[in-house]
Parts: sequence; C-alpha cells; structure tokens
Amino acid sequence: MIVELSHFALALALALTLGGAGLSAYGAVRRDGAAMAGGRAAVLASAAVFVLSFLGLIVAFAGSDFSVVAVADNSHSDKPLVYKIAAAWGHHEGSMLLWCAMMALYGAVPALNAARGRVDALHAARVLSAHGVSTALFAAFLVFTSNPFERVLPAPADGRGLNPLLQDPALAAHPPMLYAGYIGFSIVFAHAVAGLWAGRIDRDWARMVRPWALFSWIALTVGIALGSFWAYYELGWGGWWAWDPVENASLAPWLLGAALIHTVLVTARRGAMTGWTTLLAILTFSMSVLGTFLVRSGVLTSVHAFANDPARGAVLLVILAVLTGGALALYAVRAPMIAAEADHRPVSRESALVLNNFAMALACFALLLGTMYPLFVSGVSVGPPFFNLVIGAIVLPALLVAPIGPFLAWRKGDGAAALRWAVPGLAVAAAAGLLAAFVAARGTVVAALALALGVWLLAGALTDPVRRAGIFSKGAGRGLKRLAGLPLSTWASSAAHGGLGLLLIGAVGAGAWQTRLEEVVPVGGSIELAGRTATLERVVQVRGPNYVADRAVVRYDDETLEPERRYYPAGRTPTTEIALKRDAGGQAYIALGDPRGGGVLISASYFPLVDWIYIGGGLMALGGVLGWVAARREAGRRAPA
Amino acid sequence: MIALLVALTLALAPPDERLDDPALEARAEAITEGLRCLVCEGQGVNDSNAEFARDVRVFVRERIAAGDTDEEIREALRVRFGDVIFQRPPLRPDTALLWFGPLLAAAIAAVALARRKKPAGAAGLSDRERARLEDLERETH
Repeated sequence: MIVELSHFALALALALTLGGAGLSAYGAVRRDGAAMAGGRAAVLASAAVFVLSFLGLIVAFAGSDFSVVAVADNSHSDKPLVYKIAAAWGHHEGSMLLWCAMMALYGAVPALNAARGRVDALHAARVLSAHGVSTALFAAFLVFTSNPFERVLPAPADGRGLNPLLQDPALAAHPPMLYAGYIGFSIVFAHAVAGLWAGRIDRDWARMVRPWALFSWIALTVGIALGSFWAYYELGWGGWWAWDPVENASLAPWLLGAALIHTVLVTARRGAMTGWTTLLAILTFSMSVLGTFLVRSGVLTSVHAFANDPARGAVLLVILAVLTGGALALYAVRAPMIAAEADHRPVSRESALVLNNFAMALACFALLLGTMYPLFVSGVSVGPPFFNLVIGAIVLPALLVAPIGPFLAWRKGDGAAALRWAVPGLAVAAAAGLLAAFVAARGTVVAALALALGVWLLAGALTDPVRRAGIFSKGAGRGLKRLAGLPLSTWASSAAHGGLGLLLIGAVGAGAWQTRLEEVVPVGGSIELAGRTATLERVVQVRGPNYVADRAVVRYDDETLEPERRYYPAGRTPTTEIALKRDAGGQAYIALGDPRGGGVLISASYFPLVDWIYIGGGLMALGGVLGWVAARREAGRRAPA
Repeated sequence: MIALLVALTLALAPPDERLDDPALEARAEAITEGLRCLVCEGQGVNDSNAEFARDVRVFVRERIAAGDTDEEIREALRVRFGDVIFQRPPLRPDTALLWFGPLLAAAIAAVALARRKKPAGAAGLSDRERARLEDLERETH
C-alpha cells in the first residue's frame, strides 16, 4: 500500500512541479503576485510530496519488500538495516528519486525566502520557473523511464543483494553528498537564467548566488573525498584517484565550481566579469548533468559498474541539451545587456582570479576531452599518464599564483610588496623541494616539484593572515588582536588554499614515495615493509552477518592486523577488507589475496603522508564552509528590500 | 633430498611476477605501470588481480629475462593488443586533437581575453576619478 501511495506521490509531485513552474512563469511575466504566491505554494507542496515518496521507498527497502523490483534487485534480507536503507539510493531508480526529491527540496528554499519577504518575489518567481522546468524534466525522466516502485509478481523469496563493495559507511554517504553538490548547482543555474531573463546580473545577483555556489562546491568536495577514501581502503590496492571516467565526471563540475566560487566573488565585490560568471553558473550545472549522464548511460566503461541503460542515457542527453542549450541561447540574446567590466591593472586580485578561472576551465576541458576521447576514437586508452601530465601542466600556473592572489588588492595590487611577502614561503618551498630531490632521493623530479608546490601553497596560506594582521609591522600584541579580528573570508581562502597544499603533499608522499610489495607468504612467513616486519601468524575462517571470510592474522611491529577476504553468498566476487596501521609518517596497508601455491597472496604497502590527502580535502571543505558563512552574512546584509 | 628442497623452494617462491634482479624488476614495473588491464574497466595492469593483468605482468618479465629491450617489449604488446593497452595514448593523426586540443583551447581563450572590448563607460577616467566613481556608487547602494 505504501508503495502504491509513494508511486502515486511521484506522479503527483511531477504535476505539482509542472504547476509550480507554470504559475511562477505566468506570475513573473504578468507581474501577478497571486500567481507567484500560487507558484511558491506548488513548489513547496511538490517538495513535500517528493520527500514523502522517497520516504516510502526507504520504508520498502527497510522492510525488505521484495515484491518491489528495485528492492528485489538491490537488497537482501540478511543485510544490516543501515545498508538496507542505503540500498534505496544504491541503484539507478532510487538514486534518481533521491535526485528529484533533493532538487525539489532545494527549490523550496527560494520559495520560502520569497514568501518571508527575504528576497524579491519577482526574482524568486523567475528562479522557480527555471528551476521548476529543470526539476520537471528530471521528474518526468524518473516517472516515465525509471519507476522505482515497480512491482514483481510473484515476489521472490529473497533479494539479489547490494554489491558487497558498496556496503560501506563512506559509500552509503557518498552519493547523497555528491548529489547535494550537483543539485545545488541547479539553483545557481536557475539564478543565472532568472538574471538573464531580467537582464540584470550585478553585485546583488552575485551576492545571492555566492552562498549556493559555495554550498554546492563544499558538498561536492566532501562527496568526492568520501568516494576517494572508499576507493583507497575498499578496493584493496590503496589507490585514491585513478582518473576513472566516473571520477572524472564528478571532478568536472568540481573544477568549474571552483572557478565559479572565485569569479562570483569578483562580481559580488567589483560588479565585474558578469558575463563569464553567468556562463560558469550555467555550465557548472551542465557538467553535473553530464556527469550523471556519463555514469547512468554506461557509455564509458568504469570501475563503477552500475546498472546501465543506453536508452535512459539518451533521455538524459536530451535533458542536458535542452537545459544547456536553452540557457546558452538566452545568454547569447542577453549578453550585451548584462556586460559590465570594471577596469583593473595587470597586477591585481582580479588578474589572479582570471588566471585561476582560465586554468580551472581549461583543466575541465582537458578532463572531458580525455575522458570522452575513447568514445570517438577507438583503439586508444586515455589513462593517468595523460591526465597527470596535461591537467598538471594546466593548473601549474594557477597553483603558483594562488598564494599571491590574496596578497594583492582589488583593482591595482602592489606587486613588489606581494613578492616580498612571498619570499619566506618560496624559500621554505624550495628547501622542501631540494630536500625531497637530494636527501630523500625518492621519486622523480616531478614529485619534488609537486612537493615544493604543495609547501608553497601551505606557506602562502599561513602568510596571508600574518600579513593582514600586521604582526611584524604593528607589534606582536596588537598584531594578535588584529589576527583574531580578521574577516572570515581571509580564513576561508587560507584554509582552502592550505588544504590544497596539504592534499598535494599527501599525494606526492602516497604516490611517489609509496612502497608496494606483493608476495605469496606461507603461514609463519614474513615480509619486510618500511623497515618493519609483518609476519603471517595464521589464516582463520570467520562468519559475518551476511558473509564468510578468510581472515589473516598478521603481526606487524607490536600490533596484530587482521585483513580479510570476504565472500558474500548474495554477491559473486570476493571483497577485500584491508588492515591499516597508522604511524607518524604514514600508513601501512595490508590486503589479503587468494590462497596460492603453499601460502596466501599478501599485498603489503606503505603510503607515506597519505592522511594529509584527507586532512587537506577536509580543510578545503572547511575553507568553503567559512566562505559560505561569510557569503551568507553578506547576502543577508545587502539583500534588496 | 636437495632436489626435493629445490622443488619446495620453487613451489614457495612468489609467482613469476617478480624478478630477482632489482634493476630488471624496476624496468618491468616501469613498463607494466603504463599498461591498462583490458578486461577490468579502468584499472591498470599493476592494480588488478585479474588473470589478464597477471598474464601481462608475467609476459613482460619473461621478455625482460629473455633480454628484450623495453622498446621491443612495448612493440610486442602493441602488436598483440594494439595501442589500447597503453595508459598514455600515443601521438597519432587521430589523437592529435586529444594532445593539442587543450593547447588550442588555451590559445583561443587567450586571444578572446586579449581582444575583449574594454568597457566604454569608465575607460576614459583616471584611477582617481574611477575610485571616486566607485565611492559614489557604493554610497548610492
């Protein structure tokens, strides 16, 4: 019954979404306050109904109702409850329902803000029209091609189970976080369309958009980090980024989003770069949809083996074309109307941000080119060597300038003073690079340069608050007081840039300086890993809630590590459950393979500095949060009456 | 007895995936590092437990042990599997766009950026006038 009600709710939500979009558009064209209010009400109702429908799906999954096809195909009665629930978005239909519910929920925010008089009702109506059309397209896709509530008769006795690899806390949270980011950009997109519609893209517009752009970018950062963390410890070889098509699909909107959060600042502060900011606002959401298309259509082979369907992919492609094409056509018509440039000198904050945007957009282009090239030219692979080289070369200038950008004033910066402030950081970075190249003498020249770059980003991030507070010029006491009084936005950029530096340092450590051994070890045998001995004491059989496993008992240093190889009867392939031992320098990483020739295959690795990848990613997200808080305050202060 | 011991040692030795000479092993790793596992969807030959990946790892080591040069081994892989085995796409007429596309895009973007029309309104003002204008704008906000 709940399933039928939820299915009905889905259809109702689609109707309400269409109604909300139509009423809002009518109200916006006719300046009809009642129609706008009706549109807002319909948007709020559609959000509520979508959420109810999604809750209905969760109930079906939690109760293991195998008469529902999606449950039978993707869940199993022996799974822990949390993974039964997570399975609700662990497959195509459910994840599209989550997408729509989230999208409708986000649409409710501008509707509520307008209802409370916090934002201009006319602008909100335009936003809700554009957003309503986008939501309706996805809702129609869901209702007509991907019904999550389809029944099967007779119901199977048990389900086919969720892919065991996906039964993991980080991965349960990974899709909702990614979606929170992707879909956040739909609000940014809707603001862009609304601004173009009104012919008004200005500082006020940018102040409204900035919190959404930051919010979406933060969610995307966390979502990508969770996925990367999962790949690191679950797939069994310690890789955290493989330039896999699906990873690239999530990185594309992240890169454009990173460009957007910088350029929207220029628009908010200086009223400049309006056209480019608008284009980015449109294209970042396009990248999100393109990413979904690439993942869902199965056109690209990837480790993310989802249930794919080319026909569905074609529909998503149409949605992408309609949304992007429509918005870009509107942009082409309105571009002269919204053009606004404020002059700036070659050495200025603006110039640094232009360089950032240039690099991020170009990196996104190269990423897509490399990811999609094998679709058009057969017989080639585009793998990590291509992306490391090309994307690395593209972002290099931007990373070099990133620490100096905040040293420069808007409009006209003092280049000489900025360089003086850069000297300590550059010196430390050069020393670190030389140390890595000659003393540690591991890895390549490129690794040493990348390490130096990471240290430079980190040092620059530390320098900026010191410089702004005037700790050296104003005396320590007054300086510290000023330090505490620095605006949040300073800490935001410092945290984000410093986090990026740490990530780079961790990547060099875990990548270039890693030790990886793979050996067949008999019981009682041992491996020398990073100056310590790992001894295989025994291999035992254990039984989990829904799997059986071989568990190796490995004595490493003073500790017992127990990597497992799990066999899920409901799944087909065994999964590895690696064991980690963290020390000050990095992580020892031990994975158990198949029994082979008188022993078991043990893969033992040491990844120096690997924690800094995730600490750095977390710090970037924290920087985003600080920027988001600052942007919200700014938007609230200057909200148009 | 010795024969038995030797047989036992051989049985316990790691699969033929590792060469005893560190220099040769380093060469082997450098080659396999750049190879894609063609049956595993997005993984490298070094990162996969698949039979295919193992076979390729063993093949490369056999050829190194037989005295082939790196280039000969890569050529043998190319003949057998095609360019698709290499993670780094070779420069061919039909991959020129892949390798030079980003450069081309950068050039186009740079030209567009350089030729961008300067704003008419505030262009003729001096810095001081412009700053004053901005102050006025700010006050009227």
